[in-house]
Amino acid sequence: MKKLLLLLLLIPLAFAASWQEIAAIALVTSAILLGIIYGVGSGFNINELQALAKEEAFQLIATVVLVVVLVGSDSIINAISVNPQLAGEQVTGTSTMQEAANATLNSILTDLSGEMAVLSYYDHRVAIEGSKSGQCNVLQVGYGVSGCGGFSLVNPPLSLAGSILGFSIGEVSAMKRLLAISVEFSMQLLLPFGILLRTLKFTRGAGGFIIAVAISLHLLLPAGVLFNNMLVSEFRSNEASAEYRIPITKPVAAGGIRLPGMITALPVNIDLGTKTEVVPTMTIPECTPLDAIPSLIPGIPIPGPASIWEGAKTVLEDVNTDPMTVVAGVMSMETNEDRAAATYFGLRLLIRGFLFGALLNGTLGPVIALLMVMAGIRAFSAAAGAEVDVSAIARFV
Amino acid sequence: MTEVCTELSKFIWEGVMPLTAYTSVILAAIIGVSYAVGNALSNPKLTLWSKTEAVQMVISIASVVVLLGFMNLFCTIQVGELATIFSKPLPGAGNDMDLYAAADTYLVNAQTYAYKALSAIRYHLEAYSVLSSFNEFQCDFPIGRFALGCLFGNSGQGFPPFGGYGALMGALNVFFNTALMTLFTVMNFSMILSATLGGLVFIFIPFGIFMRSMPFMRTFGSLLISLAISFMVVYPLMLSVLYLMSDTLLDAKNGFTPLSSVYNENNFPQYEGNALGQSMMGEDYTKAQYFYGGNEENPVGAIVFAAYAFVSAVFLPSVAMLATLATIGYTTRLLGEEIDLSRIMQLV
Repeated sequence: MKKLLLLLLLIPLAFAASWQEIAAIALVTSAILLGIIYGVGSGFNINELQALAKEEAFQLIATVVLVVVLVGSDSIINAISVNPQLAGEQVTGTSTMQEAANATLNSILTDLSGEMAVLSYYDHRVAIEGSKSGQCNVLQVGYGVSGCGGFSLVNPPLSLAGSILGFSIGEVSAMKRLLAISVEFSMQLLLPFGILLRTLKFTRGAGGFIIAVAISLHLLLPAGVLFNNMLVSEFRSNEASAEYRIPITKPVAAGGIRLPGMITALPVNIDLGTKTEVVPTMTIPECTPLDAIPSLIPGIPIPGPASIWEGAKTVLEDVNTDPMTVVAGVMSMETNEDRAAATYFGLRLLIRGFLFGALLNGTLGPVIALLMVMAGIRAFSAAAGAEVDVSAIARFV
Repeated sequence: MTEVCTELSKFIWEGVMPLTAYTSVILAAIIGVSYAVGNALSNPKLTLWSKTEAVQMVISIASVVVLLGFMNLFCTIQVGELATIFSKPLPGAGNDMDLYAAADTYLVNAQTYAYKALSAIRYHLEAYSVLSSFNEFQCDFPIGRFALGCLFGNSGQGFPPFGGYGALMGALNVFFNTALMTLFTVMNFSMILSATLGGLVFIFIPFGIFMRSMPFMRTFGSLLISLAISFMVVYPLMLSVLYLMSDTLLDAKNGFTPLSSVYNENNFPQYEGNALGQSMMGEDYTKAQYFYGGNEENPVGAIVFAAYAFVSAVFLPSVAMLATLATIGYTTRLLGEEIDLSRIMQLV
């Protein structure tokens, strides 16, 4: 059977080193198949077969044009994508845009994992404080009180932020998997496979579609990732993004010294193989449950969020500034109520930093890249003569 | 030839082909009678119709012959040979499978993959639910883990040592639903393939041949034949190509999981008799009961796993289904009719 299949393909693709060679061999194989069909048509004087071969030859020319465009685009985009000046420092040392996109996704995933660790840390701390209760009784006579209830109001926003962050991690991971498929299979397997299928009349629709999928995954997916990263980097360097650049972690000490408050980012054992150590920038004040009496200090009102923000936004860009210090500077920390409110305001400042990473890098980026892939599949499949309604896949976005 | 092909071959040659031959003969008889009647009545419309339908019948039968040729090829080619030709490493065991068996195996393995993702998330969710509800009471005036404050009553402070897992559980819940949907979707794709390989679409062939030559029914007949060709050729072919990617798509070399830990129902510890130990040994002991040894706490890894499963078990099989539907549209056009597939596309 192997011989039959090799005969069918005429040339095994096994010796080809690059996808360009494989595509060229697939094109040549298709041309030879058409030549055989034309030859049989001529030999037996079957006009239909000759006409079929001619028609298919035009389709093959269209495929050749597609492949040539692909090769040209690939080279140009590769040159742009691996330039750290344009695509960011994380692409240093990469040689193709797929590698650059993978490095970018790894960097985003590491950041998001660290953010999830910090968010989880705050969630734990706030939940512990909010659930504290005090009890005092002797021989069953006494009282119990949950004096830290104010902290429990901080948990729902943290849960919502966790959902958003988790969703972003999932999206970026899905992009990583698609990129891995693109690197390993789209040009080496899907493209030649599509070219061969497109040679046969019955399977031309599927062949054109597979060619479109291969080209879109190879070109547009990494291009979309890098394009979005360039946009985000540009925005990050712009003054308009100052309010979103709030650091949520401090730098990890050099030499592996474990700082007080340092937590280990949740491990991402998949592909990255590393754990990130992060230091949260904010401390959660401690609540004492038996101190349930509201503020007895008259004349110190809880300030509005606007005044806290105005006072905080200039100093928070320093990674070593604890938001709680900023908040404590403008409001009393005497009672549990004040401490809970201060925690809320402090986290409110930090949440912008979380959203910056999660929404721009982790959500908008994959959406842009996937939309580019969908648009590419539609355009390329139409060019290949088999327009496919990709709205079904687009709904995944 | 694997069991799938053996059964399929038996079904075709013993069930479908006689029926196809039967309908073809009836159709030929109808066409012949129409031609004769047209000649007898000197009705050119009737004779022209008969000639046209005779040609269409030949095209229909040729389509069926092409389909049988493809099927025979798919039942003979081994997936390992396909891998060699495309210079891809062989996907572990099972290289002697034919393409139909490879397609089926991919979807079965994808179900395993999705289920393991679901298990990993469920394990974390259950552990976090239990740990969240764990409470500790610290008596006043402590001496080690004992305290004088509880000597004559309960004086002290209660708190949950593990705090809340709201953020992580919020994130994991989203992906638990995703993994569940992934599992159901890939099961759906698997059932479609099973129904296809069980011979369902072959029932369409005799009816398709007959219907294509009936007045006003050519579109319907073309659709039936196209369905048979697309689902018997393109759908399994696409899935068998995905099978070649199993090492990457399904982490086949790593036991169908990208994680170092294997989370399943058997990993949860039994707690009978451990209550005293827990109360005396503190919260770290309790947490170690859930995340110990090979069961590393890895919620981000579980989320990533679910995302991978979605790509491998929903996204790519959907692409295979779209390629199949694209072929239906193209083949019906080839058979001379145009159909609107936008409604069917919404099923994907």
